[in-house]
Amino acid sequence: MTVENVAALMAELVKMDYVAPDESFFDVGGTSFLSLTLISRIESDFGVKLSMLDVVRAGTPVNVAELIDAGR
Amino acid sequence: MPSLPRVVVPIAADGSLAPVDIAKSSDGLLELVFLINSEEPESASLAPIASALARTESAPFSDLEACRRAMERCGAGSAQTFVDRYCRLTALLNAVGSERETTWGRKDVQRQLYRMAGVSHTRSRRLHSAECLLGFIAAEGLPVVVKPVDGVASRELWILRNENDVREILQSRSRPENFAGMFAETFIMGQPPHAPYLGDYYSAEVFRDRSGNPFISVLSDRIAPREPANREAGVIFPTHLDNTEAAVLLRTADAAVDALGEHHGAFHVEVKQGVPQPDVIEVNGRLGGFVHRLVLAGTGVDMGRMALLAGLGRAADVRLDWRRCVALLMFQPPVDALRIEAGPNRRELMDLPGVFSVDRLVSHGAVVDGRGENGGALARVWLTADDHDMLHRRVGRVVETLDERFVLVDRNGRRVCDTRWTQQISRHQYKECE
Repeated sequence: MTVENVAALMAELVKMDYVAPDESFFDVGGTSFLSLTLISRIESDFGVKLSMLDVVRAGTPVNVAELIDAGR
Repeated sequence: MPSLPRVVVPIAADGSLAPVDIAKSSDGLLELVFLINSEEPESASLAPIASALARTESAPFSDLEACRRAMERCGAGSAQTFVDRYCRLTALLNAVGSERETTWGRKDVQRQLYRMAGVSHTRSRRLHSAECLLGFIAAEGLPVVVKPVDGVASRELWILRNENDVREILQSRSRPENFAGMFAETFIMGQPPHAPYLGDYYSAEVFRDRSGNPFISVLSDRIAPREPANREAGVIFPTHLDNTEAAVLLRTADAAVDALGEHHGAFHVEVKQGVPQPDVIEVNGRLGGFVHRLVLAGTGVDMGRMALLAGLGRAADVRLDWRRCVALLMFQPPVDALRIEAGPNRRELMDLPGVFSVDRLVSHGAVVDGRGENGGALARVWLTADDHDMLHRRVGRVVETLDERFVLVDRNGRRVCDTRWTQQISRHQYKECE
């Protein structure tokens, strides 16, 4: 479920209908500023605190979800 | 394990490498300290991003001593930047105890140096008034380029091709002080490009180590700019030029860096295949815009890291082997467009063949700013393809889609339609607007 939830969160932030599991947040209009919001929402929704570099390196819902699952 | 060199990097929101990419590219290479300009309104939004990535200092960039103190405070030994307007500051921060002067931010002086070195035949004059400009035009004839001596990213760039263009700049700058900081130069006539959808100028990335040897020299093509203001429309890697033609331009680019007295670092040089020899448009003391992402997509090489390495005076044993062709299309609106009534959504663009990113898409209701940075592009679309022909077809398809989906109106609320550029890019005869 984490992948779908992360993808939905990213889609909400970039105002798209959906973000595919292997699409990078930064390829679909995600900015540094939006990634701060993403990190904050991940912390509140999943209880996992990620660094900005973690999110930038991960990029896609699949990779970000892996980080979240590993951090739980 | 030896400690990494600590480097201060003045940043802004519009640099050629974003703070997140600077942080990624510097990993394991240097200890990064961001420096933010406390005088810029954007610093408030930039600070939390920078702080989340690396140690961040703040100082007023108009105060060199304050910046030096910030550099001392964090124990940095040198400075590097990816922002045109901070190249001068960065050079001054690196020049403590040195008599060497910097020419960054003085394009008028740089033009004289290119001419003295024989890499340019372009004549120029610093402007103080409308009369000064008219005198230059009378002496040299049209076309003439007018731009700020410290201009960046085509901002406030004027290309005067005819009487109407001259009238327009004189009307918009009716007072003598409006010409302060501007200079004029003769327009460099380039040779016809390899294909109609390409521009007649090229960009060279020249990365040199401490001994001045270039360890990366690579050329990119430009997508044909949209007239009449020659607004930048995009970048293509690798170049369509053959190795011999490319080598001539790369040698010119390297000589232009020498002409400015620069030794090591990353340099972005714009150059034309002139007659009888190439002519330098300008040199920037940083990595070229959009280059990092395009080269990464085309070769896997991290140009941000290479630029930082060059800034340290070091070299890497690296080859750019192109696995695919890559392009960035910056979709420019017709010059009369003032407002966006409707536009495409990001998903339909992402679903077009070869598109791997749409990182900018201006939404409906927005006002078009044709003289802003990069000409106020309405969309930035990134593409890959197996070869140049496939890339051209894909770029053409994106341009046609954008032209169809953007509904633009002029100052009187009338629909604006000008398909000449679209036809030039896509090669297709294109239907007229309804």
